[in-house]
Amino acid sequence: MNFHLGKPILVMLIIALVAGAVVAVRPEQRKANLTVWVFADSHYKAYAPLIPEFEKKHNVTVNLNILNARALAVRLTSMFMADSQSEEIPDLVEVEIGLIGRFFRPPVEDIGFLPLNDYVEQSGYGERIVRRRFAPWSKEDVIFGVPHDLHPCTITYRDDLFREAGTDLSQAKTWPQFHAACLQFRDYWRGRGYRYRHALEAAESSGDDLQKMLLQRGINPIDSYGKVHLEDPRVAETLAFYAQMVAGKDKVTAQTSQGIGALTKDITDGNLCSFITPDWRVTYIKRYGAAVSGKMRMMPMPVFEPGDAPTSTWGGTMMGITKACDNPDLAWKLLEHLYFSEAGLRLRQQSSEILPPIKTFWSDPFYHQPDPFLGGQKGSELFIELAPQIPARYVTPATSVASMALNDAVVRATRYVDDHGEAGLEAQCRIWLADISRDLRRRIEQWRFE
Amino acid sequence: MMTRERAWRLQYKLAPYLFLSPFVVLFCCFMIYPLARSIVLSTYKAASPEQLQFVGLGNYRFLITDKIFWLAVGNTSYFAVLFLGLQIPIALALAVMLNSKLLRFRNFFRFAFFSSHLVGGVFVAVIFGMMLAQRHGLINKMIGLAFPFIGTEVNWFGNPKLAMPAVVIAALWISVGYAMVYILAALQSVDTELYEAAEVDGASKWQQFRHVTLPGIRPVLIFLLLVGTIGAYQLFELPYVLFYGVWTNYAITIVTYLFQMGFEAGDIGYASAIGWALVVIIFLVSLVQLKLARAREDVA
Repeated sequence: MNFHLGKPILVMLIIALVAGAVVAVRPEQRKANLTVWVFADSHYKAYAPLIPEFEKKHNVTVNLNILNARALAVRLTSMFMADSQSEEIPDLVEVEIGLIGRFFRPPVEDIGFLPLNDYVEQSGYGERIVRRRFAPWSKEDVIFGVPHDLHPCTITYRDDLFREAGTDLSQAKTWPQFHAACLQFRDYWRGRGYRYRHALEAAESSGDDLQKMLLQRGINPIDSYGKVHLEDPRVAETLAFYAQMVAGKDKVTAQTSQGIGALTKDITDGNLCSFITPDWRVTYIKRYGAAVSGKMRMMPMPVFEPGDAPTSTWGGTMMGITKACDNPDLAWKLLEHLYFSEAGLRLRQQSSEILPPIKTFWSDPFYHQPDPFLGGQKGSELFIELAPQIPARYVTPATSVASMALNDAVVRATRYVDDHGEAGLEAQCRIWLADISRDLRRRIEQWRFE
Repeated sequence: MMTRERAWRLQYKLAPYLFLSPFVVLFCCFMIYPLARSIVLSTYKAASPEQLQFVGLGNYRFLITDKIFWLAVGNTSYFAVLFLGLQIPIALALAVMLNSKLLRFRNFFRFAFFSSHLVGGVFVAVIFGMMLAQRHGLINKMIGLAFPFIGTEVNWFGNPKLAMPAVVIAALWISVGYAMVYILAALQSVDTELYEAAEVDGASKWQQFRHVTLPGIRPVLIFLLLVGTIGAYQLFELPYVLFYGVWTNYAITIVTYLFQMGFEAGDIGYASAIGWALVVIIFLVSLVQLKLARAREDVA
């Protein structure tokens, strides 16, 4: 066969024609009545078996998709930016707490999610769910998502090693008492040659753990109205305390590295002997620290002063309905089915011990069993006791910048402690925090729409 | 009616445009239009299609006074200097070694050094994240063995002084082999008669390297410097994965800041302004490098 432009061109033309024909005649995928995006494997596994029942009951089709959390957030942001009514946008979406802020950048009326206040109030879930847990998913009191969880925090610790060091950690009710117990622990084990045995897992270059402490004191770096709260004197006080716990001569902490291998080894070798643990993290610690089963115990978080919450909150997920959804009532029914049905609760219990946000579910016997990993202690009961006290956490578009600024403040404070000790630290912290606050206010002002 | 000859002539004239058109269409859709659109976007506050507010040069004015942006510029420049200052000499040394006829298994070593470039940046970041891990990472274990007083808890990612060097180590691992291949090709194209002439003139090996080899491979070195500079200023995946999205002032780079503003804070307009500032920075740095290279050429 002769083709006057040559064989390579002929081959390319044939490939183009065949590919074009395949694309043209490919049957169009039927769009489901509802499309749901989730990002967590355990959530996907818990929801998938619930879908057929819902489809049958309402005579509709549901398309459940799993995407990587960051990919989901980037795609959804792009879709909202391009056309908030596009058919491509899913009807229901789960979003992780660290990624929700970006969606709250437009004024309330232009946010891509549907306000859910009416649904929440009319269905009665407003009363049944811990009210503060709507905070991360709200802007200016308009609710855009329903919480999947509460994630109250406790301290999970190696009771055997602390007791061997002569300390009953559960007696530490305040952070200074906790620090003193950790110092006693450190000195005991160092004296026996355990150079890498640390009392608490906490980061010296990130403000994540500091933020949990601030939340205990009811302080959000930025609230849902965009007001900056870092100049509250308690922030400098907490930062100074945190810095001298993670650096300098009284350092009692270390951090674990990325990857489950490092965490497993740190738990089983006793390198890290206590952890700030929300319910989801206990599942991991149990999974990877099976070798120390029975030696761990759990306690409420210490506080700074009376009135502080003996817990904090770490992580979280919401499900929201997008404005592109053609049938929000049906979407709400699906959301109720996935989040609040008895069947949903059972499936959730199979994959994790995450406490549901609905208070009436807490009486389920599943949450009242002795836990062999905790030496028979009823861990979930402690979470239930702490759950109503979780602090309200707000997330705004500026929260990621505020977190970065707090990371920097922690680094500065730890360097200061390493170089100069504790003298003058709190005053320095106040100066840094004032500087950070000014910068944040400037940014928030720059982002404000007129 | 069109004659056969005329039709052929027309086809001859139009065929190149026809074959170029798919590329041109794609280039316009996915390169020219987004670039033009990003210039427009950089003059807006943007939060949604309904929320576009024209701010003129407001984003650029804010950028000039944005401390974090300048920290990111500082960090990225520090990375670029450290990275290029090490990458080119190491690649040159390796290339000279692997160009030697005395070395056995040259092809194996060439492939071995180049192979690290075949894996992606994200993969390398994950590996180095593990290798540099406190207590359990291979590099920290080796430090602990060699220097027991330092121990195995060197916090590469948490210590401001070590964070960028950690990124440089990972970046070198990916890119030294790639640079080495270019230099190796350049070394092999240096005229051997020049060496013979230098030897006749009594030049030592070092003098031959300095006065024959280096001028011979100079264009490739300048190319590597330029490409390396552009790549260094576009640094993203390595710090993004190594620091696991935990941004700190000492580790943020221009592109990670751009990403943070665009996709975490949702400010696409400001992110576009950062992107164009990056273009200007890369252009200026490359221009200075080229000018310096030409000035040296003139002196030589």
